[in-house]
Amino acid sequence: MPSLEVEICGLKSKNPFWLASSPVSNSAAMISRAFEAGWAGCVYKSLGIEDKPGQPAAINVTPRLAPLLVDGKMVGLENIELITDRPLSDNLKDIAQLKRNYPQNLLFVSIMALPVERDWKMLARVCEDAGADGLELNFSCPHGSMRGQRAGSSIGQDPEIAGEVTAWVKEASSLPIMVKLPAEVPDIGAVGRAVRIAGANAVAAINTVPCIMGVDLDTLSPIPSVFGVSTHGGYSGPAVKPIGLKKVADLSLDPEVGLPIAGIGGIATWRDALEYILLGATVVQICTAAMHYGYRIIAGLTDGLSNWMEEKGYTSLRECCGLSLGRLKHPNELDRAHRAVAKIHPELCARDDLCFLACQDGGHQAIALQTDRLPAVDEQKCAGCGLCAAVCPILGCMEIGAPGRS
Amino acid sequence: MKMACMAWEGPSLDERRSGFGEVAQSLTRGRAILEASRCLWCHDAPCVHGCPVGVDVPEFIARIRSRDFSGAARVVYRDNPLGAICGRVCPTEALCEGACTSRCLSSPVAIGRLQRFVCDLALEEGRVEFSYPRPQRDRVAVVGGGPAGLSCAHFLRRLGYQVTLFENEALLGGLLRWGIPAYRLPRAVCEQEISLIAQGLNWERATVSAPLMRSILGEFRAVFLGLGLGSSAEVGIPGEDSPGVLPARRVLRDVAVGKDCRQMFDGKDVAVIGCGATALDAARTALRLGAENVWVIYRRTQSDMPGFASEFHAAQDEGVQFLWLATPASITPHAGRLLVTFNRMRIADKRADGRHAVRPKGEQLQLPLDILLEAVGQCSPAKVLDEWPGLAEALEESGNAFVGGDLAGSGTVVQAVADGKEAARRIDSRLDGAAPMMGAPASATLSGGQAPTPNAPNCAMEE
Repeated sequence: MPSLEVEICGLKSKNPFWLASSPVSNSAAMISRAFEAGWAGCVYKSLGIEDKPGQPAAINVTPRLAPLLVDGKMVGLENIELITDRPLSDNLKDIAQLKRNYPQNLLFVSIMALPVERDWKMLARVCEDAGADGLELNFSCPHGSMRGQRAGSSIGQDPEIAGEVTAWVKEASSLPIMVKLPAEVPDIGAVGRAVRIAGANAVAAINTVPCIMGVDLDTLSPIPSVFGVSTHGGYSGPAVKPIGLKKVADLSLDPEVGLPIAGIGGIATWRDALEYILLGATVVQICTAAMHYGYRIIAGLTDGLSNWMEEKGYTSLRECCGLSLGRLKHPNELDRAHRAVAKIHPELCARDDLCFLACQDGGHQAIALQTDRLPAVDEQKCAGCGLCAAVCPILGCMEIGAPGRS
Repeated sequence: MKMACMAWEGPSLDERRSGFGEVAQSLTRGRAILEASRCLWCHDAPCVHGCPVGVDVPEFIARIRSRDFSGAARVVYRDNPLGAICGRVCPTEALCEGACTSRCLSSPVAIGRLQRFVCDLALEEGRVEFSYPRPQRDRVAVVGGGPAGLSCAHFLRRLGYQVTLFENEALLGGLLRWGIPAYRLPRAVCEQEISLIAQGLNWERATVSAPLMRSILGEFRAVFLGLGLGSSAEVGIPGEDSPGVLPARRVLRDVAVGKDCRQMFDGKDVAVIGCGATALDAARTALRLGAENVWVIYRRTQSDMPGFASEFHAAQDEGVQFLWLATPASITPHAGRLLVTFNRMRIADKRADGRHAVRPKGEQLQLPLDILLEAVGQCSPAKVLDEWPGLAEALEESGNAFVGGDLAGSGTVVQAVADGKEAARRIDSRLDGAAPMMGAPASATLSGGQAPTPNAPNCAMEE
């Protein structure tokens, strides 16, 4: 059996799967169930500053979620939920209890505040006292920058402030520091470099992507509608994976960042996780898929990954980290001398002929229909763009490759 | 070239009628993924409860969706060592698919076909191998090498027991091998899964008898009886011993062992009495052997037939004719053929079990036939036990005898597998630090049904 164990911030994680700081990591009761199911680590939902002791840092609205449905299935999710709405003291008790009961599992705690030194230091200290294994600095929550507040993503978008806050936390605590970065930032490497210089041990990317899920056409309120009005929120789920992969690759390829990465964004299956790992992530964090299908997904995540490794002959997941980075090139470096074309596997074809339509109206008119509705590719006309394969509902039916194969 | 939709629907009716090639076709990977994407992945999924062996259906389907095909097969094989076989022969419409939540939304997910797809793929790629711990625990005997016995032996070995299996025949498999026609269960698939379980299994060919049972009781800490059912029941009418009247099971067996029965059936008029699984299999087999006309004749109606709907429809599609509310009264050999007289029946009142009682209508019908196949159930080998006084009591007293499969009234392969698995679990909980076999309390004895006491009914009627 291949080993899924990885090391991050000097700590051993029995597999690369962590729960992300989010509704799925809201309490000891929830996280205990996740650890029992097989999750290796968890980032506890962000703690914040209470105006008065016992008065939670945030009050949440209802409803606070809205899905993007494709064919009845949720492929994206907007949330307008804030950080923890439980009292700090309750959360700290939960953290202590989790570390008592699950010493082998990794528990990082997410913390978030305005860029005020004493607040960050206080949060870091109480988490360390409660027994957390590490801290995740939330420089990326898209709601943190709402209403002109300078918390969350507004810190992560400013390398200077990000570095400064990281340094405060480094001073206050001996715990490993992971910094969670936003998706919406022009140069994620710049922030990565700044926090590394300030003492961060790892980075996590990405947080949710700022979004508006839609508009209710009867009430004209954007959704999720909170008594007739809404606000922008954070977008997550399978639809954001490509954005996350890009940011993680950017961080991996930046030689001056040089920190281990927790990949986040749209991971629902072992395949998604592996893609992040191949682009340089050491561990991955998951929220939306666990919200959708429950903690039970961990069984398929670990097994799938391990089966793939076995099949490909890898013995340790560490070997797989960043393996695809060398194949990520500048556009100028791509081969423009050769051409690939589409090929149909007629035995798989369902005769929906979506490829024909797509090629007619969105491609290069290279597909013709034969009498039995079977599409045929004219290799001379085919530009090899790949649209036909993208719209084909049957996996493996349309393939793009060297011309002249049959 | 076959179109993809044909790959879903299978061969044409003409192709089906002309040979024993498998009717249900395999899914392609792409089709399987598409079908898997319809699964809702319900919590506490009803399909799992609908599966007698409790295969974690949503979990294996989720793995298909994530293209972890070998992982999917592993999930199936964890709970069912006959995954590819059950993926073919299970009456899924009455089990997992009958319970599928998507049934209420549009149509059930094709769970059986998906299970078959992943198991076939894993078998084809040589990925299936059962591993067992070193057998260091008590010696347990399994009597009968059909699906129930194979399952029990498999699960006992997984728990570390020293298992010895006793089988009447020269080959393991029981009904899988001798009873299910190849168009439903290709020989190669059957062979492959049986041999995987047989790998390293200690088994002996032995005729089941009272002395054997007694020596087993003396030698082993527990015993599982999965003997199946014995000889076919007779209808009990005049002329039943005429040439051309024979048990349907014998034809199925003859075809299974490779005897050429084509000459016997070619161009003939054949009727099958009964409408259970054996009757439907025999009727479809007769068609494939070239019979001109095949009737299935049943004394009740379609709604009360013991056969499963999917097999009934397949038989009907292939051209089997059904005659309801008729029961044979007498058989007269006539000019080299059989003149069979049937009593027409009428539906009387509904019985407590929901089926209808039937009574003679006072009318008769005569059919000239060449062959009459009887498929009205089998005699229980509990008779074997009855023939040696005191044996059943000895089993009962041992406290560690368990029955399963057809002998316990389980009518499907998957239920037999479930019986064997459950018996292994019970044997384990009984022997795990328990008192010696003799002297154990006589109460909690038999799994899956009743003790084979001399008073138990010795004829299980399939009707």
